[in-house]
Amino acid sequence: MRTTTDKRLAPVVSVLAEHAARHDADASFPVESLEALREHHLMSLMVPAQFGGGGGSLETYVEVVQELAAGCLSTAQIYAMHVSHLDAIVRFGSAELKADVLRRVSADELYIASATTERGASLFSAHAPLVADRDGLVFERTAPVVTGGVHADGFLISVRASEASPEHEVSLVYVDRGDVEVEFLGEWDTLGMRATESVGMVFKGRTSERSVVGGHGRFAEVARESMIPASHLGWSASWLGAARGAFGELVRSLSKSAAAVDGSELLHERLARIRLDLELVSAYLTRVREEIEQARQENRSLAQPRIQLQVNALKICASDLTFRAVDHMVQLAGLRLGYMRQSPIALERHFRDLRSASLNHANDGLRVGVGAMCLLDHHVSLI
Amino acid sequence: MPILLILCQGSWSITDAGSPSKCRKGWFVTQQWDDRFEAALRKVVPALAPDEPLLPDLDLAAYGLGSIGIVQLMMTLEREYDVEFSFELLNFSIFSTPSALWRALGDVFGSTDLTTKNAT
Repeated sequence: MRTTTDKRLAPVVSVLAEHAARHDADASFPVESLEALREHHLMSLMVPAQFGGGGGSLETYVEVVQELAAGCLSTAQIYAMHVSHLDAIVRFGSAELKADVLRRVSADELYIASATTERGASLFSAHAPLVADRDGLVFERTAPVVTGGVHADGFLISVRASEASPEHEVSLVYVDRGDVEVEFLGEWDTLGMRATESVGMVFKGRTSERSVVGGHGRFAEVARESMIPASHLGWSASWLGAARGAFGELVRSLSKSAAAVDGSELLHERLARIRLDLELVSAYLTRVREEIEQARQENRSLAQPRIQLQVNALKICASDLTFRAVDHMVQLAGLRLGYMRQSPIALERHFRDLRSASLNHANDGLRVGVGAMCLLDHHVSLI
Repeated sequence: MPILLILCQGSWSITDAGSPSKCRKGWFVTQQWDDRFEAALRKVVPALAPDEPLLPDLDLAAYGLGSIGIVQLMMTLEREYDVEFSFELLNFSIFSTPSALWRALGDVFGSTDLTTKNAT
């Protein structure tokens, strides 16, 4: 499976790799890379076949994201989030929304971003309300970080369910780019993940009942059943893919060196540490993905504390261990190969990119949740 | 146990279902659960004002019940009723409304009447 995916994706990955350094330097969106994804019908890969898409499985999704990340981690994350948004529409969208949006994603390879952050609000709360008027539903909403939002064709936006609703009663609405006025806020000048161009945005627009994903006030359910599991799988796959790709390049480079030929024990020990971290992430990613697939096949809810714990543990472990792996690669490769921007191996960029992994949906908060759930699991029911 | 809504005529209406509580619009709602359950639940939905009734179909997530609150609630209920929930079978859906949670708590006991279960 991996070999097949490798071969099919090789031309796409080479486009991503070709443009990654420039977009990282400029903190600009990887337009050529997204175009390559579109040309190879990857934007619709995860759309069910009945809506004209590729009907890809979660296994395919995780493998594709890993491969893409070896070329450009920013592009892989943009793609992973697009897929998690599709997953929400597939699983919770109204029949009319699915027939419309999913068919257009298949036909035109649309890119869908999301705005689910709001200053002073958690993921599960929102201030800005959805307001009903005579012609439908209107909203005005500011989001401080919208991954790739400048270039998106459509958005999933979380809003307070109504003016009368408490802030935890949150709805998720879909809106086409053409149906919303947008304003861009600030700039995206960061240490890493620079090519995601995740600027702040103000949205002012109109939507309809059919575009409320999962029904009014059901965002928490959509997030727990779909967006969070899908994005944690995708993020983890992207971090692993970037670290794995770099490790492959490093090993190829080192295997030609005298130190490797002479069998330096220090070199071998350091290689082992890196390899073990990647093995652990790969294994846990695979098991969590299987658990999610099995639950979905059996029509079981993912909103079980045990699965939620594992989905969050995956994100925490993958972000920590892949960053540690790249840190060890920098140490092993040394100043010239590991730390310089002009190095043939992009370790310097991967190090900066992966530093964001623990901040993105911050590990601190996730650990608090995992720790709290431990108190309920007296039997320590591990995966 | 069905919930009863009784129009307020200025005095408490007592039924077999449990003790009554006052609602904002002049209705009385008889609790289908006991006071320990009501107190435990109110602690984790701070958005619900003390003078607002804890209605059986209240959307608990909309009133701020998140995963940390759920854990606090489960621990309180386990302690109060001397029960242990199966972590592997737990589902967030039982925390959707007070009545769903009360039913789930009842399932843990089987036919035991929770209102007579002593706190430990």
